[in-house]
Order: sequence, then C-alpha cells, then structure tokens
Amino acid sequence: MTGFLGLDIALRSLMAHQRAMEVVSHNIANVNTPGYSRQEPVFTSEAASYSAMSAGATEAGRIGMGVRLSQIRRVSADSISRQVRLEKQSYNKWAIIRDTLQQIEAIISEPSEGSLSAVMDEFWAAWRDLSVDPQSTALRANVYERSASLVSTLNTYSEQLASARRGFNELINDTVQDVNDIVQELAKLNVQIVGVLAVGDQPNDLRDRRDLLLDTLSELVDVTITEEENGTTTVFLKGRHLVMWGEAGELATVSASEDPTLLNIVFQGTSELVRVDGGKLAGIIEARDSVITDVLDDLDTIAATLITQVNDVHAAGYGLDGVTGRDFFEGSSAADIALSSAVADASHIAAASADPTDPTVGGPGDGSNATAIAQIADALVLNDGRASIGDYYRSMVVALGLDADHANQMAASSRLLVDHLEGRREQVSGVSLDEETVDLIRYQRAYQAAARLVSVINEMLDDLIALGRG
Amino acid sequence: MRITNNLVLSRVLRDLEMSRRRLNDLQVQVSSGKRILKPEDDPVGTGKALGIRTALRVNESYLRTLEVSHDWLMVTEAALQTIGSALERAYVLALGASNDSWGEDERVLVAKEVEELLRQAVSAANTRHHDRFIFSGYQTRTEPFELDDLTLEVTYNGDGGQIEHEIEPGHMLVVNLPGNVEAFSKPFNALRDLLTDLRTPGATGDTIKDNIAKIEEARNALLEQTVTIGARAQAVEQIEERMRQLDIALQDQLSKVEDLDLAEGTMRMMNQEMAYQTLLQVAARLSQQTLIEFLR
Repeated sequence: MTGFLGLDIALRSLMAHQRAMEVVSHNIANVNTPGYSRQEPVFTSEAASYSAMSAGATEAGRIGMGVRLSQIRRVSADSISRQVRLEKQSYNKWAIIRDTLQQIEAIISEPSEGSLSAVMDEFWAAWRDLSVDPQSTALRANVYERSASLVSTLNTYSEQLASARRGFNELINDTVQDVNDIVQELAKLNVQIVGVLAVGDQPNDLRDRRDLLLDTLSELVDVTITEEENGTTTVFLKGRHLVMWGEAGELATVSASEDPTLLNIVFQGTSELVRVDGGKLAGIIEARDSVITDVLDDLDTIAATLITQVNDVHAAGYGLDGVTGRDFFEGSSAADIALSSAVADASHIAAASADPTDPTVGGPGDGSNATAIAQIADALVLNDGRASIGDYYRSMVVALGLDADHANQMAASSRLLVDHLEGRREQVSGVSLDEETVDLIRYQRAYQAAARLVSVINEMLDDLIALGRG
Repeated sequence: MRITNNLVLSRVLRDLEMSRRRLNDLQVQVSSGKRILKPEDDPVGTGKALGIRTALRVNESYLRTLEVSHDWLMVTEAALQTIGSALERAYVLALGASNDSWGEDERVLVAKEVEELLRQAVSAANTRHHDRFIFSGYQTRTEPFELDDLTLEVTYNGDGGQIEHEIEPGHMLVVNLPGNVEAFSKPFNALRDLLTDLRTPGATGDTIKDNIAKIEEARNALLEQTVTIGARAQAVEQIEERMRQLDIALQDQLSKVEDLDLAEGTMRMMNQEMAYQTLLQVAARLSQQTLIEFLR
C-alpha cells in the first residue's frame, strides 16, 4: 500500500465524521423546535477507484476509498402525520363546540336561584298569591315585579346568546386570515423546496416547516393534502385549490344574507360559500348556526308561548277599574318580550273574570282570572300538547347538558388520539438527547481514530524518510 | 420504541394537567357541597333537580294560599259562632219571657238585651279580615249588612260571589260564605221578630212563645253553615299537613339528586390529591435523568 492512499481515507473519515457531528449538533439544537424531524447522517463506503488502476491494487484485491457522508436523511413519519391532521380537525371542531356549550351553560346558569326556571316559578306563584287576595295593592305590585324580572331574564339570556353569536365574527376573521397567511407561506415553500431539490440537496428543514404549517392549517379547516412527485404540495379545500405550486388561493368573509350581523366565508373573488366540515372553522360555524341558534329558538318558543297564553287569559279578565281586553305582555320573542304598558298601573292587572265595578256580576274580591293565569303553568301547551312551558324549558336544559357532555367526550377522546398519534410521531422523528449523546461519542471516537491514523501514517512516513537519509 | 425527552415531558405534562383538573373538579364539588354545578355534570339529574325545585316552589305557593284560606275559614267560623251565641242567649231570654208571670217592665229590659244581641249579630256578620268584608261575596269593600235603627230590618248589600281558592292542583275550595243565605236572614229575622213582639204593648207569654221555634230554626240554619265551614277548615288543615310532608319529601329528593355525599366526595378528593402529589414527584425526578449526567 502507499501511505498516501491511507491519508486520503483518513481525511475522508475526518470530514465525514465532522459533518456527522454537525448533524448531531443540529439535532440537539432543535430538540425543542416544534415540528422538527431529527436528521441522521447516512455513511456510504467509497468504492475503490478503478480509474487509478494502480491505486489500491494489490494481489489480494482492491481496497475501497474510505467513507463518504452520502446523505443527511430526515426521519419523518408521513403516514402518522396524515392521521394527526385528520384527528386535529376533529379535535378543534369539538373543542369550539364544547367551549360554546359551556358558555351557554354559564349564561343559563342552571341549576341556581335566579335562573329562568326560578324566575318563572316565582311568576306563576305571584299570580296564585294574587288570586286569594285580588284587592291587595302589594300582591298586585308583586305580580308586576315578578313579571318584570321574568321579562328581563328572557331579554338578558337572548341578548347574551346573540352577542356570543356575534362574537364569533372576530374569530372567523382571524381564522380566515390565519388560513390565508399559511397558504401564502406554503406556496412560497413549494418554490423553495423545488429549488433545493433541483441542485440535488435535501430540503429537510423546509419540509419540517411545511409539515408544521400543514398541521396548523388542518387545525383550522378540513383541507385535502397531496404531495406531488416534484416535491411540491397541493392543498385542496372543498374541491378548490388553495395551494398549487407557487399559487395560493384566498378565503374572504362576507355578511350572511340571512343575518347581516354575522359573517360567512367565501372563496376570494366568488360568492361561493365555503362549507367546511372539519377544523376550528367548522366548529365555529356549527356552534354559531346550530348550537346557539337552537337555544335561542327554544327561548323564543317559550317567550312566544308565554305571551300568547297569558295574554289570552288576561285579556278575557277585568282590572279593578272594570276594563277588560288588556294585554299583559308585548312582543313575540325572548329578545323583545316586555310588559304591556296597559298594566303599568298595577290595578289594571286583570285578576277578576267579571267586571268588579258592576255589583250585579262581580266585585273586587273576585280573583278567579288570576287563578286561571296561574294554571297556565301546568297547561300542556307545547310539543303538540305534551309539555307545559316548564317541561319544555327543563328538556331544553337537559338537552344542553347532554350536548355539553357529548362535546366534552368527543373533544377529550380526539385530544387523546391526537396526543397518542403525536407521541408515535415523536417516537419516530423526535430528538432523543441520550441517542444524540451516544452518536456524538461514536462520531467523536471515529474522528479520534481517523486522526490517530493520520499520525500513524505520518510516523511511518517519518521512518521511511529517515531510512532514505541513512 | 424510541422514547425521546420531549415525549416523556409532554406525557408527564399532560398527566399533570389532567390530574390537576380532576382534583379541581372534586375540590369545587366538596367546597360547594353540590354534585351538579352545570347541566353537563349530570344532564338527567339537572332536569330532575329543576323539576323538584319547581315542585317545591309550587308547593310553597300552595302553602301560602292554604294559610290565607285557613284564616278566612277561621274568621268566618268565629263570626258565625258569635251570631250563634247571640241566638243561644235570645233563646234563653225568649223562654223566660214566654212565661206569663213576667211583667211589662221585665219585658222592656229583656227587649233591650235582645236589641243588643241583634246589634252584636249584625256586627259579627260585618266582620272584616285584612280590611276585607268576608260575608259580602265579591263586594269585599262593601259592608254587607245594614241595620235600620227604626224598622230593625237588616238589608244585605253584598252579592252571591263565591271566592274560590285553588288549594291544591285542580282543587277549588269556596272559602267565603256570601251573606245572602238563610244562615244570616233567619237569625236576624228571628231576633227582630222577638224584639218586635217584646215591645208590642200587651204582649203575652203566648205571643212570645212563637219566637222560640223561629230561633230554633235560625239556629239550625246557622249550625248547618258553621258545620260546613268547620269541615272545610279541617280539610284545609289536612291538605296543609300533607303539603308540609310533601315539602320535606321533596327537599330530601332534591338533596339526593343534587348534593354531594360529603364523606365519599372528601375521600375521592384526598385520593386524587395523593395521585397528584405522586405525579409531581415523578415529574421532579425526570429532569435529572439524561445520559449527560452520567458522562462527567
């Protein structure tokens, strides 16, 4: 053998292991970087050079040319990533629905004193109290006050729910902005990745960045992602391209036609509504258009039933002044239910079913109309004659609790699945400091050995030169 | 399987978070003493609790009504008894006066007492309860009976309005006695007739004797109503008693649905505290364990 070939091999080894230690440094440096996939050096033995026929040629055969660091490989888990994204869509949707239901629970504040159920009970009780002493100014005032707090409770619930619904506008705007930003960056990354691949390199860190963006994007909307053979990523949303090569689509918000205070999502430049089924945006839309709306509708039904039922009976009765035909409530929904101005004077409240000023038919001691109003509490006036107003409200609260419980479980189980899948991804592509330390020692030792080789060859050459002098 | 540092840390963090949340839930339950704080804690139980609370409030309002009904009936009964004792006294006086041995002067004295009895009876019939005349039907602001000082005729100014209280669901009870019934007209007439006869110059035992039968008849008419009112008062008392029992039963039910079994809750909280503390210790040790620590 010639000493010079040995030096070449040692040099290659030194360079390869120095590079490998740089890879280890990069891994250790990124141990806490979100979305980072660990990289590993791939060593390849350098085949014997056939062009230099003499080099390394002995009777025993040829020796290779040492080692080469042929590739820095990114250890990724793409199939797990796809599942993670799918589960993240589900988790983020349910998390929003769960939060909304909890917000509604807080607004409704059942079971507690001062909730609608309590206020409504007090309302009916006030009428029953009045029925036994219809002349009493105090009891009339009591009916008025109880009714006022019933009305204001309904108004407040309705307003708070409506404002929660409007509150989603900001979230929709922010989310749409996030989607647009991510999509822009993905398009830029596509161009960069193609550029790096073109010069024969591996765009490892660009791919990490891209995967992280795709994860985040999946939390927001249910996109479909395909990786093209040229290394670019194509992103679809509801059959439309969001990202293709360097081109990025864009989402925009418009006022909903059915309620201009609410925002809907469209593809920029079109009026085509984007109906998302997964991700945070889908959760927002479902929470707003079905979860909150259902409760609002139920409250409206309760308010409307109260208004018509109480007004019917009240209008048939007589105030202490002998006037009949007065309404008790005004309005038609939970938002606008109010006490009729006709009963602002409490003596106008119709407790009697006959004219109390006409001694031939009635008198101030007649409280039978108040009894009739108190009896509406038990009348089966809703759900096709199967539920009283109280029953209807209670089933609404039970349904709310069941929905919240369900959303809780859905969010918790998809969270668990996300965690599990992310754990599996971490197992494959996460950085283990122990592993890196061992690798570091291994490469360090190899480097030291190669360096030793250089010094051995150097000594050998020294000997040879000394021999020549002698 | 590769276990990376981040994997271990994120798992411990997640477990800590979950354990802390569970502990918090249990602490809130124990400190409030309630098992259900939001509908989602137990949706069906929440529905039950709401129903029981409503039933309790309804029950309370019936109890308030029953109290008023009972008062009306008791005041009514007392007034009728006053009229009754006036009749008793008149009966005794009539018996005495129907004796021919009584002279003119004595009859005049008796007449004075009978007039007083009549006034007492009318005044009892004009009894007010909480500023409402109880015997004038719906005309609770109108004094029902008016005694003419000259003719001693009693006129009724009320109406036949029957004041009904709903004392339990669907059970309407008449609590008043409108003054247009014989229980009033007969006693008043009997007393007036006796008085007139006593004052008639040359009245004899025989002319007065007729009044005894009339008084007895009046007593019967009165007694009939007194008994009816008494029976109603008793019914009210029974229903009241039943509703109080129901109240206790409902409170008990509500507590079973809504309240936390304190012993069990505290035990579970303490267990969770232990679990949490153990986790904290595990987490504290984890950070020390890397290969680097051993390579010095």
